[in-house]
Amino acid sequence: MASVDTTELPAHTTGLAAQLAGAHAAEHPLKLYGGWFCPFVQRSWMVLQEKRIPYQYVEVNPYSKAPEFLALNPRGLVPTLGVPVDGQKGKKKPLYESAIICAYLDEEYGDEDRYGPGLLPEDAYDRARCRLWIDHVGNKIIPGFYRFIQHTPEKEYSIEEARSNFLGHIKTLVTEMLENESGGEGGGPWFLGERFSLVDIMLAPWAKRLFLIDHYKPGGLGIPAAGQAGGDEEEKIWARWRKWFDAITSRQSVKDTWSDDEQYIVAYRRYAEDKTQSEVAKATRKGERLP
Amino acid sequence: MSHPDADLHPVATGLAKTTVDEHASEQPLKLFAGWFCPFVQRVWITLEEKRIPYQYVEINPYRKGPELLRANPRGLVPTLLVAPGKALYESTVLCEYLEDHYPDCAPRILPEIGKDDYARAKARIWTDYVTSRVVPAYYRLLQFQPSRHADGEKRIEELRRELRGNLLEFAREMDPRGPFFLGPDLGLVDIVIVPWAVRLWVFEEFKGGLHIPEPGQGGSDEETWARWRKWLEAVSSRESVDKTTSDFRHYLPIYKRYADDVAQSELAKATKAGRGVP
Repeated sequence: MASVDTTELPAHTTGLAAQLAGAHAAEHPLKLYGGWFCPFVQRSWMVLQEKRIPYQYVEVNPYSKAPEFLALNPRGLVPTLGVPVDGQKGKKKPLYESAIICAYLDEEYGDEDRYGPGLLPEDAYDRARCRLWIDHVGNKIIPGFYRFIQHTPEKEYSIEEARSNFLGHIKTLVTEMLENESGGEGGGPWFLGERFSLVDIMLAPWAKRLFLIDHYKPGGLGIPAAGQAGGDEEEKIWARWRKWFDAITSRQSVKDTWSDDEQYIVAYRRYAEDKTQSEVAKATRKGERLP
Repeated sequence: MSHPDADLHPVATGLAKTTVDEHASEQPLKLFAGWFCPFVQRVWITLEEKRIPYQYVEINPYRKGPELLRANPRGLVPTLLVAPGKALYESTVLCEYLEDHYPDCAPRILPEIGKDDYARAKARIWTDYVTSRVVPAYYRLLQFQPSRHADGEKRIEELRRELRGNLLEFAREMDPRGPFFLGPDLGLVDIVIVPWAVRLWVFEEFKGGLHIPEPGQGGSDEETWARWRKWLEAVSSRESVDKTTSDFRHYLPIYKRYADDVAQSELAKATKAGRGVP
């Protein structure tokens, strides 16, 4: 197996995430195996926090995985949720795929009196619409993020193409938000409007990581400032985006699962130079679906 | 300008035609469908299993009407119009929607919320596995042209092995008794893979075979292949699968285009570009 130089990669959570990890270090039957910098892990971690579900957080070095972890999930990816087996103390069964872990936690811990409001609407159509846009986040926006951040001058596509592709998928999402609101300034801030949901959680980690594109990529992210969008329609879209962006980046569960900004800058340099050997990066280089 | 793939047979035939005719009359729930499309078949099977009333609307994917594009700007089938102005798409999302919205229409295709959420999540993992691994591997093999590569024969052998490997991994996760993936009853995991499981003939026809070992020839995978065969037998003989399948000869020209890598569907283009399911 190719060895990766991880000497520069910070080994654990810092900042508020370190406090949270410390508060969840004690043994608990429900375990979240995570990597502090991994956005897919952050989704699952946010759901645990939003619903105040008790759990133990276990840091995994994705380039040097403990045998106990690999025994639970041979695919070796984070996040992995270790779910206790009823009546068999100490035994765990695994779940993986961040979107599936999030949906599972929302359903398993569905008692609203204990765990707060559900993260998906009750109505079947509204739920399906949310799933559709979760799909858009996962299959369009997120791959677009990696194509953008991993762009180098050697690529066969230009950075302008990566940027407009990425921003285009964001605009599609925001347009859907606007179309489902009655209009005016009152809409939002969340995807569903006043109701926070899994759709917001699915995109939140990448919203927090957008600053890395500004940091690393020539021309930066390219989202126009207020009054600079060049058209009424565009102004509306980006104003609505800013409303969502401001709300999600101030959400407590997002802040609590975030390490220090500087650590992400170090960790994502490999992505920016397209040298990282993570499964996500490899899939992006090959143009394949994310693992 | 007429699209090259637009010459495909325009309507369902065989047993599927009977089903289409039974669902021709006006209904609030409308399925925009292509008779040959395996993604459509997932939703179609679900509708038939649950005996949900619906109207079947044939769409030629290369001559999409305004009604479809209004409902789904991505213009893909299947699209489900659940009420005026309320459309949904993405085949797996549609199957889950039907499960949620018609709770009294048996059978249930997923473990119920609150009853066994872990099993429900496991089912979703393996549903996801089908779309993200099995289906792209199917098309990568089908669209591969050995003549375009110096080591074409070696590469096609690798692609066969990859698809067989995916089917084995899938079969290994099946409930040991079955016959279906989760046990005695058909579920979502079975539904999302069966359209491709019943289209494996394309490899015998066009690609020199998939080379799944015969009984007794499976070596260390003998048991798993036996389980696969048991599963395949059960899903292939399911009425909802028969009722949504057209006459074999009409599928041939469609899949020949994929086999020659001249198909122009979004899926074919995505496979060529090394991307997953659009």
